[in-house]
Amino acid sequence: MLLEIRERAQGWMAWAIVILISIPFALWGIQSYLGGGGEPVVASVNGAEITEAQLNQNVQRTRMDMRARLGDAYDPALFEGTGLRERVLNQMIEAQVMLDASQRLGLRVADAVLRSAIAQEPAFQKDGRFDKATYAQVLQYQGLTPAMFEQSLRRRLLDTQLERVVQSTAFATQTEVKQSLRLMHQQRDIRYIKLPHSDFAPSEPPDEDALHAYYEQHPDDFKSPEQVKLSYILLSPETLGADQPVSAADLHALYEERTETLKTPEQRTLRHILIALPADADEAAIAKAREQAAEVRERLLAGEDFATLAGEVSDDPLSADQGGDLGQIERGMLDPIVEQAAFSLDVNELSEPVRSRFGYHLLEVTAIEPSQVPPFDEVADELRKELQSRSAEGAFYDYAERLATLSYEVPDSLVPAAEELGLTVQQSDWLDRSGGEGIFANPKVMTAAFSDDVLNLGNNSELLEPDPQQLQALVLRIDGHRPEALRPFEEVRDDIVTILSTRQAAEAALEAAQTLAERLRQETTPVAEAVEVAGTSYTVEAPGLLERQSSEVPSPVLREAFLLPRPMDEQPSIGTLADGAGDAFVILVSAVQDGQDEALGAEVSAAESRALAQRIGRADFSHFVSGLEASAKIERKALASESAD
Amino acid sequence: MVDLQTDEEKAEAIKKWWKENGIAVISGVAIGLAAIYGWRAWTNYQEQIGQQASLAFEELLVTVSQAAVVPPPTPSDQADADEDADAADADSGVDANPLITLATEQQARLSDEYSSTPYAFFGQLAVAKAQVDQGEAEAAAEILRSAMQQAPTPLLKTLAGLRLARVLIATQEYDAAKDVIKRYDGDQSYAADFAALRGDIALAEQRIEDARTAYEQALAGNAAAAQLIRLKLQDLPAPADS
Repeated sequence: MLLEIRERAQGWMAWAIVILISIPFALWGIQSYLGGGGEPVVASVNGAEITEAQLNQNVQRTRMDMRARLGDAYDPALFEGTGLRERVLNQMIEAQVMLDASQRLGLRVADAVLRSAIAQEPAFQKDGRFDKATYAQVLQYQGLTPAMFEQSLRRRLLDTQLERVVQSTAFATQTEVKQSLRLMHQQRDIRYIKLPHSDFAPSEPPDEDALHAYYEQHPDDFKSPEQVKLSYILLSPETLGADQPVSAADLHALYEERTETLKTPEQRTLRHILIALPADADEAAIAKAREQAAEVRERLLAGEDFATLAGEVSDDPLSADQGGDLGQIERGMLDPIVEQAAFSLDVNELSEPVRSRFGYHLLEVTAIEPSQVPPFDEVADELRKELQSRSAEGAFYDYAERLATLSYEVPDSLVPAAEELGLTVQQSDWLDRSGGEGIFANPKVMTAAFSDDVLNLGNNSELLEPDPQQLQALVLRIDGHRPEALRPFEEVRDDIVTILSTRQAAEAALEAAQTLAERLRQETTPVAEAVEVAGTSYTVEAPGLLERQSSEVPSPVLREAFLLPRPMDEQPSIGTLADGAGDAFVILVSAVQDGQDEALGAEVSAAESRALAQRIGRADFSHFVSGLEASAKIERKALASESAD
Repeated sequence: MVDLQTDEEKAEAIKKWWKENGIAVISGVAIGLAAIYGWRAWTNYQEQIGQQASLAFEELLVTVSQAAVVPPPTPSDQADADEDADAADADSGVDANPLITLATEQQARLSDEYSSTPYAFFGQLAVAKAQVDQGEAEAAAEILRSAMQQAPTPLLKTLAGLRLARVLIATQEYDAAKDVIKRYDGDQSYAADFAALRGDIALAEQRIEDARTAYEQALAGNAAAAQLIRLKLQDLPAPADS
């Protein structure tokens, strides 16, 4: 049979078989070239597709970044829904457009630039310099090979290259800088007249219908906030008796226990003479040094002065001049061999030659300050506090755990837990969401009080620890609940009267200001120091030339003064304004003095030039991006709302 | 084919076939291989050239960023430099600013050796910035004009045109600036910026109402340095009719 196959396989059939076999090989894996293998696609940019999986991954990464950046302030609710996905998708589309443009232009990242980017990355540095071993280690830790990392870094550098090109070649011309300084440092000669609304108060109170109408039209302004009254069990060192007396026996026991750590170390005043010897000295040298040391010892025993001799023969350059003095020594400060010798000597006893890694020492102790334990009375207070807090702390964690369990087991009352633990249930005042005094100032506590579980289901809260730095914990439950409610008309009537009269007065004041402004515009003579409006005289405030950032006049006045048109032909520009409080102003600008770049100096000009160039560069780039996006072929599929993750 | 061939006959047939088609097969394979290797060599070469140009451009950017912070030579420095130059070499002395000289040289290298890459064009933009920062607006206008000749894409050409128009306004060549604006203003992406420039020209020519309209257009279109445009708009005198 095999023979038959062999014979046949030599003919046309062989070719047919080979071709048949080669087809699957040729097509194998082709689907990965022909689009994302059936994965859902959310957008395509000039043919390049962004898949749903990629989008999800980026959304997830953005969330993690946000969480890391915002820390406690991170609120997951802010990042839910399609808003975030939309934003992330737009970023991805923009990145793809940029990449596409970079590739079409043929932009490249030079190896040298890549190398210096890696060398400058702080994560790869050791002692402020690039370290190859650290580099390899960090990459390994992230599960990357250098080739992978370098490729992704190259891609990142390429992504920002166009941006850098457009931004860093942007400039501000001299003319633009001058113009900007001229305007930003402009000063205006300002005068203004203030017409307080109190001078224009209506003679009659507003009528009842108007009050009612206002009440009905602005229900949101007259609502009392939602409030709760809480009962709670508070655990703190105080409630657990941190100031309870401590028995004298306990105190003494602790004192005994602590003697070792409390006592001051023994100190010895030491002097020495060193006959230096290298650590690797040979036998002959050692013998010679030992002999020399013995000789010096003999001379000392014969009555020669230690200090003088130290100055003469000691090889320790630091102490020789001080008569060999080493000062006060504690255990652990010296070479162990020298230390052992020094601490076994009596006062004024001369040691035998001692060999250390420096050579031979002759040691003498001149004074001993023995180790001392501070008297009990001196440390009693400190020890008492320690004992108290230790017992309170121990009790605290024990109580906290039991409180958590008990209040969970009986979720509809705090009384059993309080009785069991011998604590009291305390009551709060009415509180709204913004909280109150003490522990109720803590947002964690108020969030728990208004949580669904506590507020709506009426359960005990879980054990709350408002401040982890403090030993404080509580469990709370709702005692009373007042929903948000419209306050009755009678209660707010006076408020409405005030609101309406103020409004009316403010309107009258503004009208008077407008009339006055019109009158001043008609007048040809310069404005006097005071003007009369409806029988009252008002001064014309004249603070003079002011800059944009001046604080000499109320800020709305200043803002308006700089918004008025530039005065022409000696005729001041006149405007009116009502501020937030209802007072009206007439504002006159009689002269404008432009900022002078020469007077401001070259430094200011240069700084302005850089700042302006940067702003222009940013805009140049963002317009460039929108230009690229306009000419790119971008298709978006409708975003499905996010799958639960 | 017929099944009943002997081996010799088959060998004969193959030889015959080879005689007829051998050259074609060999040259086909050779062309294929040459194409593959040629293509690879070509992309390699492109990569090399691109990287070298990119690096040369980065070096130019360093010079340019220096030119942005180093104050331009004051007239007295210039005079000194001129004297030195006169003493040493009578030909130079026109362009005595060393930073600009360096930037121009670096750019010239980009244009000479890497003219096929977009970096030659970017280099011209960069030199123009250095020249503007160092107070040589006329030279900047010249290089921006030549940059526009070799801009790699229409959008980048418009960007260069926008910058050229701003330099021309700075040198008070308003007619030339208007000309440039008119030519490139069609690109929607930079329309607001061009409107702001039209406003600047109108203001310089005392056409207050035209300036107002142009600035308003610029602000509506999200132009660069919007805050400054707003200040310019507020600073215009009141309309004549009120």
